[in-house]
Amino acid sequence: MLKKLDELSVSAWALLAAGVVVSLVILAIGENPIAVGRALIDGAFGGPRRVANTLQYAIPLTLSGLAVALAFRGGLFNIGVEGQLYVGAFAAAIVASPVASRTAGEGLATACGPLAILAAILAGVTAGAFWAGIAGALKSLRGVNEVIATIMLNWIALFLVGYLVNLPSFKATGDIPQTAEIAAGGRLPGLFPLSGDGAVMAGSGLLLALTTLLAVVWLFGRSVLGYEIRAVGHNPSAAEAAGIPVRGRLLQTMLLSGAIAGLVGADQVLGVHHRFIANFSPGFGYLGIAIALLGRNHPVGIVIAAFLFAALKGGALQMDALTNVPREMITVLQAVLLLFVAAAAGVRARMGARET
Amino acid sequence: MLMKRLLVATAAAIALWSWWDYRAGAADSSGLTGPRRRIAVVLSVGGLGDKSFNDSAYEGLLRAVRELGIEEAHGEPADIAEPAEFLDVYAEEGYDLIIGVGFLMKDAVEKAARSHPDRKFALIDAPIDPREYPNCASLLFSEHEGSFLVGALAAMASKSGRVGFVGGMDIPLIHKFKVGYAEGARHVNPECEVLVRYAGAGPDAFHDPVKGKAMAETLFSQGVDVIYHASGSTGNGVIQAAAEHGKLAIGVDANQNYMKPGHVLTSMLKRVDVAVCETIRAVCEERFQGRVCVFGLKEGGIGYAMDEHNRALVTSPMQERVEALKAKILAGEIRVTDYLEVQRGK
Repeated sequence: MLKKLDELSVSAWALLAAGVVVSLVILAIGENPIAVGRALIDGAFGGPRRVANTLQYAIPLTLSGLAVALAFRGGLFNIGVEGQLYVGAFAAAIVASPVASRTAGEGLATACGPLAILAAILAGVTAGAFWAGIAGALKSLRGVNEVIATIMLNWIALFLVGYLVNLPSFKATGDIPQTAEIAAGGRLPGLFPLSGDGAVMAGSGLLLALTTLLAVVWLFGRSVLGYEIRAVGHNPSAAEAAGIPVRGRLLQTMLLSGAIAGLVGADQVLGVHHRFIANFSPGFGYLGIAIALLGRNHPVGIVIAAFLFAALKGGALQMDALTNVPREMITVLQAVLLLFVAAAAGVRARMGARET
Repeated sequence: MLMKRLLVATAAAIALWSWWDYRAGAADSSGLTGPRRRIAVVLSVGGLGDKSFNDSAYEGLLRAVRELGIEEAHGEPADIAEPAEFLDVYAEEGYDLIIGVGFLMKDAVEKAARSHPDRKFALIDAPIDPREYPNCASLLFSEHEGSFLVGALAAMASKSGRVGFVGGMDIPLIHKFKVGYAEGARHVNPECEVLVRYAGAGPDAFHDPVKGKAMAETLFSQGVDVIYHASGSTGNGVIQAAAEHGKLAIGVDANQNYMKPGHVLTSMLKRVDVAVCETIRAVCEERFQGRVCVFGLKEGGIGYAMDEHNRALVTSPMQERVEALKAKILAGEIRVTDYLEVQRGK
């Protein structure tokens, strides 16, 4: 654990270096990096609503980072988190929304809130796992490269839910392709108040993210399944020789990864938008890959990286709204950061090799 | 170990410095409130550079800066959750008027108007009930009237008696353009056929030029020789196709005649810039009201574009005829169907 945390200092150094580079770029376009930094901090933490937004944005980033990292530990590169979260979001929405309950008879969401929320979360998780399971099954039964399969499945998922949300039985009245709004009892409640009057609440999706985080830590730290997944990730042939059912573990890895991705979708639907909206995700699934890389596949690292990206996002919006620095500067910062992390990892590996 | 200590020390120094700097900044920014009005515009997804809807709104804002001396800010949302955040940021920063561009922002503007009752809001292209939101104005346009006029011009210019329409999203707001256009075309030539295509069902349908071009080519192959588009930057593909196939296109929202001179018959002008600038003027003159404002032919909010790029395409008899139609609409002798009104009546 401590050794792993030491590895995180690589990311910290990379952040520092990226900050310096981007400050120079900002100076070069004739703006003041200090003013930009101030807008960033103010946008991310300046007031209860902004803190709430930052916390809320960190939830999907943490979860999708965990989804990518989990698969990565098992030797699989799940690029399909984006598609899996869409499928999960749609499943959660139709279970929770009054449209679905109308066809089912009694108003599910309004009648029994907590049960409806739980059912919707389970639906999202199951759907996400199923979608990832397609790529997992192709990999374990036929040896199809999961990178290709998950990328393809992303598009299929996006267009499939885009088609479904426009069907008369799911689409809400109005011009926007979205499902009907979920009744107040079917939404994720606020967790704790951030403003004095309690008007701004932190989303209880935080609890979902924390639970998932602990589950992943337990999986890899304490369970046999986690050990075997890691063994397969390190060396499939050795794992097979040791009697680990490699094919089964590959499928299970994808299922677990997809389940977390589905949870991202469920949280977005139940806690943020309160409905499914076509194209709602600003690329959470792809950001998850960056976050897993930045957090070096370590759960604590992923949380830190997710909060960093979430704060940058809130800050970028503020910067765009009130200064003349284009928000693309934040994209530049993130890209430089990732480049440094990747490069630093390479340098470290070489230095390590020389020492031994 | 030394590296680690160095890292911690640097991080601590940066944290301390940025906190100090932040405090200093917070102190001096409080003295910035002057008599100048501060106005913010939140653009629709797609942002600046669409040569159409968003650019037109931004132009109105810039004109207000020149003519009224306001201080402006504008935000370009990158995803569907951001319009609401931009509205909140501007409201919290004390902007006097915050304008949301596009019907997709309706829920977000209503929510912001509710949580910031002391700020003024305006929304373009969708009605908000002023009884429920007294601090919110809706800026609507009589697109059906302008579409009628360009429809008449299309029928006059068409040799085949077949004209086309390319819409962005297949939704009532776009049907309003189509119905007015078809009425105008049939007013001039009762035999005129109007062939219709839509780019899709989601907001992406408004920025897909490749699809616009493909749809225009299909329409041309069906004998159409003039196409009117109401599809944001998807229409750039329609105009491109018209130029490549030697046919005619009709622009929308902003004056798009210049994009392919000789191939853009005219443009249906929807003066979002006028609506934005006039609403800001109302705020500056302390006469802003939460109400539904309609910008039509009469108010100069709607029209058709004539300039050096299409002078050769619209002959003077054509222009005289369309001017006569315009006068008849203004006099109430021709009543163009407003599809949205028909929908509401149902």
